[in-house]
Amino acid sequence: MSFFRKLLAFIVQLFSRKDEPDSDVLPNIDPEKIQRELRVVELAKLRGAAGVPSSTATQLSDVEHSIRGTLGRMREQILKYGERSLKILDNRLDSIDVTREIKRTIALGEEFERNADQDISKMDGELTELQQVAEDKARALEAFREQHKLQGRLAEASDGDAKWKNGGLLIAMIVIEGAGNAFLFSEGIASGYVGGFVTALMLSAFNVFVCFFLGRASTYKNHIKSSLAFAGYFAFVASLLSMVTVGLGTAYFRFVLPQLEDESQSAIALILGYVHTSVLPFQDISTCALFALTVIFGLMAVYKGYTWTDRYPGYARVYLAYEDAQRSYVFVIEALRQVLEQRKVESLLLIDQNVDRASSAIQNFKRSMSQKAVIKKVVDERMVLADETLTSLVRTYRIENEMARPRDNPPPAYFDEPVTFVKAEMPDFGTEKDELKLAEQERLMHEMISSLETIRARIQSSFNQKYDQVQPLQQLF
Amino acid sequence: MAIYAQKKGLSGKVVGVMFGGVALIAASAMIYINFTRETFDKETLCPSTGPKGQYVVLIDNTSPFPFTQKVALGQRLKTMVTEELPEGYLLSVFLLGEDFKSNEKPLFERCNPGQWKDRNQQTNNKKFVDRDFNQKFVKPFDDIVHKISLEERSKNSPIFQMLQLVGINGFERAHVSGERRLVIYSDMLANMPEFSMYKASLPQYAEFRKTAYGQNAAAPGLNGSSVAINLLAADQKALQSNKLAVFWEQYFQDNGVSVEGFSRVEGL
Repeated sequence: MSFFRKLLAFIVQLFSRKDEPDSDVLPNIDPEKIQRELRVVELAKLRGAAGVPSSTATQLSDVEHSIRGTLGRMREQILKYGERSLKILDNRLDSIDVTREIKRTIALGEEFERNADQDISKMDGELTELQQVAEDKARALEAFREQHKLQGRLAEASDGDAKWKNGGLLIAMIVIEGAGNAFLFSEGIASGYVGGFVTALMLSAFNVFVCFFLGRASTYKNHIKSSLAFAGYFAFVASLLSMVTVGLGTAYFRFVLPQLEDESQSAIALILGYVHTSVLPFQDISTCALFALTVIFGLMAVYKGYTWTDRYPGYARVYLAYEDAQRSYVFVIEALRQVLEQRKVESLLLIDQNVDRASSAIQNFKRSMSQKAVIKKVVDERMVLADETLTSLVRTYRIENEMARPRDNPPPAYFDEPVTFVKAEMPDFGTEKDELKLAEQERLMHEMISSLETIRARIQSSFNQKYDQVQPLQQLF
Repeated sequence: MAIYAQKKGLSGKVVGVMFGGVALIAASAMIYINFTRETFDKETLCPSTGPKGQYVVLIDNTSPFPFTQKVALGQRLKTMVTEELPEGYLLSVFLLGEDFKSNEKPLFERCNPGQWKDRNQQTNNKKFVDRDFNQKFVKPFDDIVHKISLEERSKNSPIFQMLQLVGINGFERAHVSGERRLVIYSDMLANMPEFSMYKASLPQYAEFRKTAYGQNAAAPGLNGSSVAINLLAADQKALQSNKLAVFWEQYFQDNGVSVEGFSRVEGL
């Protein structure tokens, strides 16, 4: 567990912000330690007892030199630390410049417009071609409507989807009729229900398909040409005749099946015999039900055929061609809209990111400025400490030396003079220049924020403009 | 803008394929069942794929049998046809008469078309099944059986010759791959000038086999079949001893026939 704690502490330390000076680089001035290391008191007593330095000496003793030298090196390190820290902070401050983000953000509106133009150009060929086709189909539709006096009436055209559905239902209808009639047929067929079903299915398929196609042909009754309209009525009557004929045939078939003694006997011959003698097959409820079912399903098939698609012959085909062309064109526009929408979203996101980045940069700038003050304070404190330590240690040496000296050997006169360092030039921790730059950055930031709504509005407006540019076809509808 | 709207829910294509597909599959299945169902030959009533097995009945008409035995024989044959003979099995009836040459072909040969309880009721019609079974199979069989007098007294009883003919014109000619069963209604007393079971005492089969007649009496056509012997009473009942049964048992085994058993037909 302690291993993980140490690891965690290490990671935290690694990523922690170090506002305090680095103790490894910045020398730690410990007067007691220096005093011990340089043996100040011990040497002062020894030298004093020996009358060193002499009363006439004017130069500093070796111990005093050592004290000043040791502290002088520390002082230099402090200054170097200050200079290095200042340089790092200055570099950091110099690197922070939100001008680029701000200019890029302001330019985003234009950039979006440029990119949108490029997107439109890429699809221009396809759009033009589809537009041409769509216009041609629209003209063909108008011409058809005029020719057939269908102005103002929309086609009730079934597309492929609807035809699949109706086709499937038609097949289901045949099978349902077959299944319904199978019980009635099975009574007279050696192969039982299955054989009855197959026989009924064939008759049902014939009935439904013939009625369906005659129902389709019946739509010609709506045609503008009287000859074709007559053909349509004829088809309708034919469909009625067909279903009644098939119904009668089915009823007769059902009627004679139980009478067949042997499979070699012909049902057709038996039916023809009954027809010649005018005997109707409706002798029992099953046969009547069979006839009724055949006619009902025939009527349904006629209705399905008649309403398969628009009831005016040829109208659905022209209308579907027009609709397909329109749909293709609109789908391409929709695809383009999605591309533009994606680009718009990306641009708006980039604006937000730029604002965040600029805010963060300014915060970093301020933090670096405050760090400058911290470093200056630390350097000043350490420099003062070095001066005071020098004074203190030299005084300790001289007092101890005086106390140990023989009475007849007074201390030299220079003992009354203070020991000082050579004057050092302090780094410039001033932030006046940085404050000016910060003010400029903040001004730009405010400028950007105040123009954000304008930039967003420009992108949206550009989006609308570009999207509107590619859909003039709407006017054709 | 309706034409630009994207359709939601099940598309018409899915609905169409679903309904039409289910209907087509159902119809196809029914058509398949109908056209692959077992059909029967109109004349022989045998399945189109051939008989599933064969029963050959050999009836002895060389001695007059008591009335009760005739009744019992008729009933046993009826029971066999209506209850024992499986559907699709070929039934061949041979007559054992004085002149085996005139009885070389079966008197009756048709397959059992099956009864309503045995048939798939979805692919058959009860009326037609009953009609085929009763009128085309049972009735002709009954008519044939009733024509056999069972009162003739013949000088000869060519059992060995008839068994050979049954093997040749019964089993081998029909060449049925399934079960083959021989059902015999006879007193089992062979009587020919060359060999008679009436005259001398019945020899051991091993001795009989060594004779020239015995060697010629082999019936390889019966090989692979089983036999059920229904013993009709002979004038000289003493001859129908265990020794006779053992003789025939060894004869059939020697010809590759498994013997199901001997059964005396009741009747005084």
